[in-house]
Amino acid sequence: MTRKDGAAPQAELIGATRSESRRLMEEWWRHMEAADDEGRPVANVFVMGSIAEILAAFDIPMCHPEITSLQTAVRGKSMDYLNAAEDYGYSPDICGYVKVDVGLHLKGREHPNGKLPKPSLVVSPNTCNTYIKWSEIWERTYGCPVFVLDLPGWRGTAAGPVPAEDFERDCAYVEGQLRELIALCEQVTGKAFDIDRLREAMGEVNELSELYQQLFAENLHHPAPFDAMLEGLNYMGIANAYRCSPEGSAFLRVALAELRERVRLGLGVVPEEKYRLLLIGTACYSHFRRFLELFHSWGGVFVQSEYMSFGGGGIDKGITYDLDRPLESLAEQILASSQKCFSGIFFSHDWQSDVVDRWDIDGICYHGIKSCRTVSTGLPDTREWQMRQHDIPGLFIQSDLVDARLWSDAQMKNRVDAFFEALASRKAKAGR
Amino acid sequence: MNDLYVTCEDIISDIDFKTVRDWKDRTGGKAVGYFPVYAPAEIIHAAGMLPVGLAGAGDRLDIQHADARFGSFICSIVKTTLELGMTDHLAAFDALLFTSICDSARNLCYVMQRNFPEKYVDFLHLPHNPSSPAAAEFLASEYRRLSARLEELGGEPYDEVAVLHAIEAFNENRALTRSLCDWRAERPHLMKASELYALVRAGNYLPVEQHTEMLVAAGAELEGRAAKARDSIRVVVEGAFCEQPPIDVVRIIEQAGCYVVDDDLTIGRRWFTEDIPTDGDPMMALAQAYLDKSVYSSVRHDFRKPRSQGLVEKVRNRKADAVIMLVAKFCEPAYFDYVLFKQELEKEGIPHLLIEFEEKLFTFENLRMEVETFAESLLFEFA
Repeated sequence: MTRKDGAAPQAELIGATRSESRRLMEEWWRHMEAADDEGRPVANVFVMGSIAEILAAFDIPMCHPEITSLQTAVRGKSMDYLNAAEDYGYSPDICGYVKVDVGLHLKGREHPNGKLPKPSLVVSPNTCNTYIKWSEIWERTYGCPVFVLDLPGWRGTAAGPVPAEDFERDCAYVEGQLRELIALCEQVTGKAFDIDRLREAMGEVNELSELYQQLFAENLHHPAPFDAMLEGLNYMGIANAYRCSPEGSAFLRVALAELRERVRLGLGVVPEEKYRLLLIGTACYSHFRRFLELFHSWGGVFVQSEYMSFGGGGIDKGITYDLDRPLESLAEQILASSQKCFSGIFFSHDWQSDVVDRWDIDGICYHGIKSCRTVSTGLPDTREWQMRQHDIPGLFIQSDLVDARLWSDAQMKNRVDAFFEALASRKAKAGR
Repeated sequence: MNDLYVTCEDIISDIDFKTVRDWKDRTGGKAVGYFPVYAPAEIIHAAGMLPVGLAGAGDRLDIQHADARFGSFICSIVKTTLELGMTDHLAAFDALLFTSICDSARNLCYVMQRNFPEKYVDFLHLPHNPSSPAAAEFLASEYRRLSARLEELGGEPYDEVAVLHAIEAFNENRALTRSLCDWRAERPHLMKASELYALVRAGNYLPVEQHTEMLVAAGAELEGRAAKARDSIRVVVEGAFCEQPPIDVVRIIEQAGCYVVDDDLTIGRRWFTEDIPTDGDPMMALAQAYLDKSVYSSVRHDFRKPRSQGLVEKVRNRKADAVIMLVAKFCEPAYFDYVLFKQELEKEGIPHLLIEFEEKLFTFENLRMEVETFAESLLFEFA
């Protein structure tokens, strides 16, 4: 295989990202376990607003329960924990991530990847109401303090950026809360706040955000070098777990180098990329490979996903912290990314249309999941709007993040196959 | 006086919102509908508009369109609210207001914006961090933002005195409501739970002054009632703070051997534990009251005082024997809190029963049997 520019392929780049992500995930687990064993505080945080910047300034290791929950499903173990939580009293109809986590804690925190740490602190944004309910469970179980970071979202008519005067007030509210969080971290760790450490952490996020946006841009190529719902989830996971550390941006540089090499070699995700797709919703971790297989078998590749946006903590929207005014800038940028990413998912049809144009997308897959009403509630309405207003083909399917009981293979395959048959027919009519 | 309760039941089940239309015809004013659970009705009232507490379509509308616009795991009230819009039942409303009570409701706000772009739809951000010293100023500014938007819609410009008068009017209404609930809890055999429910909830569809008159009249009539007490257990009903059960569910709970001595069915009308001050900056007063004087609710999180403690206090204060957790299907806040409440109730030795419902429930035999069995088991235990 030769590169399009005639140079020899840099074989060591291909596959480098996958092995590096495995190493980093393993290290993340060991780091959490070590902190717990040594009695150092560990914070439970969420991907949609981790405020890792402040926690990193105190060197508080962060556990991401959404990541640890999904990992049980990828390993085929989530049902054990779901059943334990439901036996304890939790309804089958609430978030599976929460129930897996409850099950893990009921079972002595024994996870397939290691031992979950006990939280000494929880930072819960309001980006998802379930986060707060989840946090209350840890508070009751471990007596740890919970800090709710209230991030006002989009308001007013014609959902969109909050007017400047309202944004200013929102920033003042958020900045006030960040100072309260700092005081709490001082109490939990016994360490004084070091603003230079905060600047360091924020500087890392600036770089991470820039690299993450560059990753997305690589998928503008034909064929796309990565699938947003396969490799993209790796990028997202590492970006979350290593948000404020040099390893995070180092990893994304490895990923970028591999992607650029793949582009130069004309390497796509599948042997022949026939359909470029956008995914709205989340992954199905209990049937991770099978979900993708249903699409890949048709030559369909997810070249973009909203999941990589809100699941990546909003860094795809561009975060550029001003390190000369760290706290003010932290409040502004967290608020802005939260408003674009998290309120934005409720009213993202304009963003979707824009992505369809820019990434040359053939159709949108709306994957609704029982576990997440934040993401899933309005998907069919959005799909209907896109079809009516922009004639963008959409597929609506439902399963779950981690609950294997909600996967119906025959039904999923039928719907996916019908979608691709419709796309093929459209292409044939359009003479493409 | 039975006519009063029949009227109230008619009002709360009317999805054409005749009382709202009549008010608009009479006054030329505008109506603002708000999705559960709480909205600062005082601000809407002070703008010369009618605040109306929406609660979906209950069992009054078949869902023909809205099912296709939402995922499967979504509560009925979200769907019937959209259905009301899609079948033109919300034409009387000039504005719709939503808050972040849950993730489904947040989505509904934007689904409504997308489907009814000509209608004023706003999302009010009520703080999730009530213990933050910064929260009061933020919420007061959010209330001022709402006031400004209502003015743009054609409402009266912000007037501090008007808001203070509105607070007084709603304070009076809330005080009467609390007093009626207290009265009934002491002598539940003299007033059916369904009567109290309909009377209180009717306030969501009427000008506050008119509803206050009804409460006064009801209170006067009730003093003259006499009836024999039944051998029933005293229960607190908890969990139906948003989607409402059919009123027959409330009737059946009592027919099956219970006296409902407190509930959160109409909790939005009793949102504050005491009067809101009527001196000083009214927006700050409303904000401070929301943060510090609100009742506990599954849609509000205040780490200063656990909700489970609030429930136990309610049970003790009302001398209740048990709790019926009445939870709407797919209601995440209630489902989560069920475990929280269950653990606390078990720790306190308070019996409890979980019942799921949908607003469109139309067969009640299973429910009746469950409640009867529960009540009888406790009566035997207490005997």
